[in-house]
Amino acid sequence: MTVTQRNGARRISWGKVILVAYSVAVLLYLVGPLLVVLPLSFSSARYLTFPPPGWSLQWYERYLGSPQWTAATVRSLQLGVVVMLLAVVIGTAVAYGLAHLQFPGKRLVRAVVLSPLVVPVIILAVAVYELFLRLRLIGNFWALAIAHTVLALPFVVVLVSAALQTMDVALERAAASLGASEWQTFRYVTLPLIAPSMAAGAVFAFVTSWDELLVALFTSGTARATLPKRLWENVREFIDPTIAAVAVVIVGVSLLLLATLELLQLRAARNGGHNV
Amino acid sequence: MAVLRRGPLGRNQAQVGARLQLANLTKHYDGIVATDRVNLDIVPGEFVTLLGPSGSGKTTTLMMIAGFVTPTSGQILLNGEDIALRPPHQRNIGIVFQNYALFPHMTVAENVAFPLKMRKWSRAEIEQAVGEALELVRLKDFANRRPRQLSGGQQQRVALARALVFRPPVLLMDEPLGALDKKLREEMQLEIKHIQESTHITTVYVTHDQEEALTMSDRIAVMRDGRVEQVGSPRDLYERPATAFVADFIGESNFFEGHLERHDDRVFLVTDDGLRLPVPASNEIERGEQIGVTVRPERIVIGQGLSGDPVLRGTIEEVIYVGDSTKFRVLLGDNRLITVKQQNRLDAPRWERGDLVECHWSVEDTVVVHRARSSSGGSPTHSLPAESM
Amino acid sequence: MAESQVAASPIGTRQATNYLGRRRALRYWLLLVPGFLLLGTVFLYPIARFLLLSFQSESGISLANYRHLLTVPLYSQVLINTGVIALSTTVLCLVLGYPLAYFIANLSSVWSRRLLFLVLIPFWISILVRSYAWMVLLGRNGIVNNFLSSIGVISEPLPLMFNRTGVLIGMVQILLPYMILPLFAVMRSIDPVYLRAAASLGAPGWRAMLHVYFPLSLPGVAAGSLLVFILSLGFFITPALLGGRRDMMIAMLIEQQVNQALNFGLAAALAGVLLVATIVLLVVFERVLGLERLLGGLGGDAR
Repeated sequence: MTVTQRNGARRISWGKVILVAYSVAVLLYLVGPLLVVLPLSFSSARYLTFPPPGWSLQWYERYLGSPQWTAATVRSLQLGVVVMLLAVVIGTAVAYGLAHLQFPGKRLVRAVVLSPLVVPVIILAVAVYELFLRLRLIGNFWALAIAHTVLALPFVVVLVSAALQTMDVALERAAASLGASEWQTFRYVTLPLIAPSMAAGAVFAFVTSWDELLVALFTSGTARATLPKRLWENVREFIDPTIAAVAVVIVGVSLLLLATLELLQLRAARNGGHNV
Repeated sequence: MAVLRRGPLGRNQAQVGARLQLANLTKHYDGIVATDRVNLDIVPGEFVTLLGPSGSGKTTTLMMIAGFVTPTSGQILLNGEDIALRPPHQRNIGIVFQNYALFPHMTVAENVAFPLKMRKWSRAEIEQAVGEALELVRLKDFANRRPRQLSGGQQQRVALARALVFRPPVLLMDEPLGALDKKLREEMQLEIKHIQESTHITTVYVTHDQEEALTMSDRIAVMRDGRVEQVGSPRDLYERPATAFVADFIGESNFFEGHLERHDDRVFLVTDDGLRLPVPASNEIERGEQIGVTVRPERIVIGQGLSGDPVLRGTIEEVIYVGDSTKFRVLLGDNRLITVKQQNRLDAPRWERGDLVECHWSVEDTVVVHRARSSSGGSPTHSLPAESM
Repeated sequence: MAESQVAASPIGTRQATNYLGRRRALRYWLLLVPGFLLLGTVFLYPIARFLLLSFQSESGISLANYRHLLTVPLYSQVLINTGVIALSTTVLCLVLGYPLAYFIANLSSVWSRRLLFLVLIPFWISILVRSYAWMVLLGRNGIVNNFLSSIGVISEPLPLMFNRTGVLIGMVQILLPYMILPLFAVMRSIDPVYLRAAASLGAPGWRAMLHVYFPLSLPGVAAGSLLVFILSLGFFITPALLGGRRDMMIAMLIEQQVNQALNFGLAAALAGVLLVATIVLLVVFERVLGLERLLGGLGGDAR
């Protein structure tokens, strides 16, 4: 078809042109729809028209003025933070424990820990719903947080495990040989080195909870719904640009965290780690 | 009981190394024997090298001394106290790891300060000790750099400084120079040796490089298949190897096997292909016994019209120029190839492939070794005289 | 350290640092307790209990619910739908994703990373929001239709939503990254020397692609396809928002049975079928490709 850049030679051929055009088209398909929603949320029109006739913040005002939306937003934020903390602590502990142990069935355990990533969430959602129904935990903040933590845990475990793996085993031994107890080794040597991965895991955990619909749909109850649930309930009226504003906020928070993470990682790479 | 002892400041403290004894140290893994009744007695201030090929058990032994591997049985006595079951962070032993294991997220100074921080020294004391340690390895100006900014040799020196800064009684080094190029390695060998001598620290060094072992050690313990084959000074091991394995592992050697014959007070070894080699008389040898002897290549003379016993005729098969010397592979008879090494002096004759020559060496250079193919196991051979015991 | 020849020894691994044997290992087990507790009580136990419900029905313990699934056309149709949609999604993702993956894999590593980043951004955006965006775009008065009629291409709005088309458009967009990542990973590792060798042996461009490159990329194709298929099976949000009555998938039926029909038994049976299908496919994945590929595909080269 073509001679690619990796071979060093460059010949412009029709094949390559088609490929590039095609790739651009697919990329647009991937990223485009959201780019459309963004300007809509700032539209000054009364309903959804594209392109917007003018700009206004009316929909955001509508959003912030509605107790329904703001309560849901606050709830989702609180939930996200709690899930983030729980997932990071438990997940790091699991990753650290697994890294230092060998036992038959370890692979199975690891598979189970990671399974929420591939097992359809609907199954967990209805199963947990049935359980919480019996225990009268529908609408309970902490119950939902724990359920979300199950979904967020794999991310932390994968990331921290990877960091532990790439960390030189000799570093822990060196610390021990120099007089550091287990806890001191963890605190002064291991922790600073896995901190970036923990941070990444934390962000993934937050976003997982922030975006999560299915479990919250069943379990958060009508009075204390999360933001995605409220969005779901109102999405049939997608003509209402308030929805667009909500969508933008939901995405905005995710992307903000992503950006923060990238920045932190760039800085960490430049500094080569933290000081003890 | 407390091994974590804080030494007073100042270089005036002459810290003498500890006595380290390994008694029947054995390690089994799932039916595989990594070390088998290793015995070693290291006197304070001594530099002992564990030398052997991969799988010989030298690293396992070191790791047991360090505390990262628990012995199956045996004792590790540090100044008489058995530390075999003590956790590593309570052993107060300095270790230089193979890949240095410098903490990447700390500066050089912080790395070196780490053990002192664990021992709760005061800021001022730490600063002084770190300064001295860096001075010792000549890296004082690099205190605020990060490990990744340093070359391999510099990292190695930081690792050494870090292992010494808390004045441990014992220093362990696990093939620390493997990653360096030859010239740097030779420099570092001498530097390490000098540091060790000035600090009097008892040192156990692991390597598979026999030249390195010969250069640096007070004594060498040659290990094979989990056992110590022979312990002795470099000279002892080189000139009086106890087994064919040791003879072959340290330097090169020519091995001859055969049975003994006695004629008029002289003893000869007779090989299967008919060579008769005089063997130094000794009370231990009996007639008819099967023995082996080795001869170092540089002890063999090549010439024509030589006199003496033995004089073996052969053809030069291979000439290998090594710069300061030349090695010859000489074919004796039908089947036997021996290696001869000759210094390249201006007046030395230049032999070539195909030349018919005679080989001779003196009987004192014929070293009797035990038949080492089937190891009898158990106690190692300690060469005599044991200089430092 | 080369001691590994004598001992199949864990010297190089962390496990060798168990100098106090059992006491030290206990510490690590304790670290696992919170995780195990969490997963046990909120994951394994509820799911197991729920699945057991599938064997309960009015006539006591039986397989009645499962029989229902297979015999009642309403339900069996949903099962078939799910399979068909998942398959279609997978094929479309493959067709769309392969060239893009090829393109990105053959760029310099700087550009590769940038474009990959672009491909991965959707990961961070909730499926709900993405599906909503499609609703805005695909509706009868949606942006696409308005645009097309405004430039005169169509006279009547295209039915792009509340039907199979809408569902596929949405699902493919969401699952495309899961196809692209494994493909990219495998393609990236294809040594260009193979294509050069093929050329030197006389194969023109397209033949080299067909006979050399494509077979070498097959592990990526397999990994991506399996991954996309497995994930498609459990989809809920996208088909619910963008699909019509004939596009009901298993997850939607489960939700309906729980929330509206209150038929937990049937819902559990559906969940059981879905779970078994997922597990079987995962096992196939593991056997054929190894689980690490799965995680490699998910984790991507992003971090």
